[in-house]
Amino acid sequence: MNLTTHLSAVHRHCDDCFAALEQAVRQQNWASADTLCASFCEEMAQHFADEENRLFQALEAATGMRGGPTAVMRYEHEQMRELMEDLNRDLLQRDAAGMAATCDTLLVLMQQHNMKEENILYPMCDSRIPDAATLLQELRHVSP
Amino acid sequence: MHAIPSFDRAPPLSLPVRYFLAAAAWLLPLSASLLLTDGDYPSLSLLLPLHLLALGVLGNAMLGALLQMVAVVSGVPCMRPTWWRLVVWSLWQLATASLCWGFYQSLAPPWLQLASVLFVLPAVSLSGLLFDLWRSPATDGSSRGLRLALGLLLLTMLLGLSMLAVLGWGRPWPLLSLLPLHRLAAQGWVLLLVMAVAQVIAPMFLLTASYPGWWQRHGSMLWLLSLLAGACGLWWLPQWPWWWLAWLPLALFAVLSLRLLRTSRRPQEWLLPYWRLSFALLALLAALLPLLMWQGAAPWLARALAWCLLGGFALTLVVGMLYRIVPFLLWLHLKNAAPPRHRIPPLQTFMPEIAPRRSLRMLLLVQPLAALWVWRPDVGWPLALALIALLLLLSLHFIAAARQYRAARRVLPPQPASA
Repeated sequence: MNLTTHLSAVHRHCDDCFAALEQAVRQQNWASADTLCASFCEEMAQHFADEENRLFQALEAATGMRGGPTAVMRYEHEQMRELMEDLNRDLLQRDAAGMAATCDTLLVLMQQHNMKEENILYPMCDSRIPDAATLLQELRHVSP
Repeated sequence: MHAIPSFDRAPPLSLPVRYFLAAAAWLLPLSASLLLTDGDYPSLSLLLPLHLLALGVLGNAMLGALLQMVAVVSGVPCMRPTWWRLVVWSLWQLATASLCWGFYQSLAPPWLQLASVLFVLPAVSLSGLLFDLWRSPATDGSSRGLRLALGLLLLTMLLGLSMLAVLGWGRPWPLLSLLPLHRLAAQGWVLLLVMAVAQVIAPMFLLTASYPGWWQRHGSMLWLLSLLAGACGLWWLPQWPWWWLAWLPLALFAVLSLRLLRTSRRPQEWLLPYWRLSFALLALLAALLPLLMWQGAAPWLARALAWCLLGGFALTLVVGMLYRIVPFLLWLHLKNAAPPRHRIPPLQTFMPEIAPRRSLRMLLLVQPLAALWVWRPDVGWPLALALIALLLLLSLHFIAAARQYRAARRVLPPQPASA
């Protein structure tokens, strides 16, 4: 296993949480939606923290770049955090239509972001970060 | 050593949107051309709608999607957006119009000469894009597929230009050998692009399982080798049923995709029935192919195969893609223009779900009318009317989306001045 396979698996795990949440909202099963939304947002927050505080910093140290792809990824994380706030606000108001619309937007933003990371950024981390194996061990301790 | 990707240099909003708008606009001359065809193959009257669909409608949509995808999937920066937006776009439209007018005028050499000259710069620009794509750090199956698809698009254009050299400039080249090769390369470009896109879109946006690993790794190459075998068969063994080899991966792709779509965890997603319809038509195409053994190149079969691939499979996917990509690009553009924490309306404000569902119903109506045209090409008007109705729906929906975008843009607070 390398960083690409591990972090792509984390994306798929977040997708699973997202799909379950969407189904709960569609069925207006609010009790389940509360739990699933909390779980989804928590998984996403942990994944963003792993990337921003460990992975991107390691890549920036290895390549010497500060802006570029990691800056764009951080910016997109921020956009997704805002949408997750909207999701929680809609959930509090039990607004199924609002949640469905926010989920739709979040899905597209999330997946085009994942595409960039899985196709390019993670493979680059695997090849450029000198101690990628140690970093992988650290990340595996904090996320599934 | 790989280059650093430039995600912050994605194409501006107006670049893909301009190609998408042109794709929709070409539906109108396509509909008109259906009233002119006698349906024989090969015949000028059939080449006209075929090229209006392939170059005007699908060519524009696929070029717009390709320019967007290479930035997102493969991290290739858009270096000259103005060039692609103004020069390549204009030349593509003029060249397509000139070529189709040349067909309409019974192969009038001046129009074919003009088309051949106009297509040269887009071909050179696409070669540059292929070069950039080859240097991209992305090594995934989709990026490999995009490279091969772009390579086949260039080969298709090269073979097309060679035929224009024969018909327009009087070069003594073997036209009847070039024609099936041009057709094979064009089929390869369409299928390879869809294969590259499907590997990404199905698991990520429809939340399906992934395509099998062996298919992701070798599918594009398998299809390419099959096309090559088909081309060699055409060249050296014209009596041999070469098309079995050329189309085997197609049937496999249709079956794999239909099975994959059954695993989607977003049953409410409106894009899903677009994909089901599209791949069902691809499966129909694969099922019709063996009839070539008994029917030879019967005109009805040529019409059916061409419709299944271009008007059925590819057009359905393209319309679904337009409904998914354009509202997202509008949303993203708005989000990037807004100050941090400013709440942007969700995607469904720009494109309510009912819009793509209505167009899907129209596409479902188009298919039996296309079957009628395949059977009776002199009764092309119902299909023409249905395509015009599809164009009207697309126009209404995208004009409404543009209005929503402008309204949201007007109420944006000014961006805070950067320190």
